[in-house]
Amino acid sequence: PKPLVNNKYVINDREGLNNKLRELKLSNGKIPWVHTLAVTSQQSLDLEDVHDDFKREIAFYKQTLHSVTECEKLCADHGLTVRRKPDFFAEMIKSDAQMLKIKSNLQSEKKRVETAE
Amino acid sequence: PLNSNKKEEQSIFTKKRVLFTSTRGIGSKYRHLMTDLISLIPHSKKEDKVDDRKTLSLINETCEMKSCNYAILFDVRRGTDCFLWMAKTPLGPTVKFHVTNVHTLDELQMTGNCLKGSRPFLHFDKTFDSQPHLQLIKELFTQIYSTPKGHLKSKPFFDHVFSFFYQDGRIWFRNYQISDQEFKKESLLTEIGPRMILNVDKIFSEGFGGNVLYSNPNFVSPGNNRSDQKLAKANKYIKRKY
Repeated sequence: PKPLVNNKYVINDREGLNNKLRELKLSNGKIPWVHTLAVTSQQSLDLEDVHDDFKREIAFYKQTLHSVTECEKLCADHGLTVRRKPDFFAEMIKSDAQMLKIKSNLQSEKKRVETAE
Repeated sequence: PLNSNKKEEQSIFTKKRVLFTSTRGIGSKYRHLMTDLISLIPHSKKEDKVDDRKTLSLINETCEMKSCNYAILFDVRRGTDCFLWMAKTPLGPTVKFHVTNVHTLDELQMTGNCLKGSRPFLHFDKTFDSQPHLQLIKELFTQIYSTPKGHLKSKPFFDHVFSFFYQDGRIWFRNYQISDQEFKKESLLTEIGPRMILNVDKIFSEGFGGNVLYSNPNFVSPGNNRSDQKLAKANKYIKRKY
């Protein structure tokens, strides 16, 4: 639902913001890419309606994927390995138990769809 | 001497730490969000809860004690309204967001996974370059979220990406796993979570204080929003009558 009242006092100190940005940037913004790994998309997201979940997520996905390929190219240029070696094991963000739960949830979902058909 | 100079240069990018803290009464949902972010940001440090909301500038000192140069504060009010403060301490800026539409890592529809401590790629959509306040936010996000190269807890592989989009006047956050498909030679993304929408409220010039550099004209505090909704509902009959 749309809000009814907007803020009474609006401040947009563009000069102050720009000064702060200059101050905040490390070594005048000339940070080698390997330290930030950040890219900014050159395309715009042409979304008609942000509240259309499906279309929005597709647009987000596509744009991110585009950036990922760009990042991978940059990684290759800077001599960074992208892919994990198959014999490299380390702790993951989500535990095995959680992943098992996710898997069983997916399977039960699939089963539900199948029986419905 | 040239070598040591270079090392010093590099340490600006690599020596950073983010302090995570919250006010009392944060509640389980936002606590989960906080622990999710802590696990995704290896250069983070969790600190005790803040007791007094009136003296937030004390966080600057806590940061100095814990040798942190950034801080993220989860400020939950009325048990439901979560404000996220992100700051470079002590010189600023500080950005105060209102957080909505939170989905944590625990949710089952988030099927992706990634290594603990792997350095994320960061993606920003084009809009972030269009206005001064968004440029400032982008720079702050880049500094806070990018894991330092060679950090002890980091891994030398890349398997996830943080995406920030500016849509509908708000910032949308996503975290995707990058898995490669052997046959197609093309990457595939799976969402790991968490998800959230950040609505900018104000930007302050210093760490948890200073002048207001920006206040969002379209921001409505959650309390006002609720009372507006109630009022709109309450006046339904009167409006119909006249």
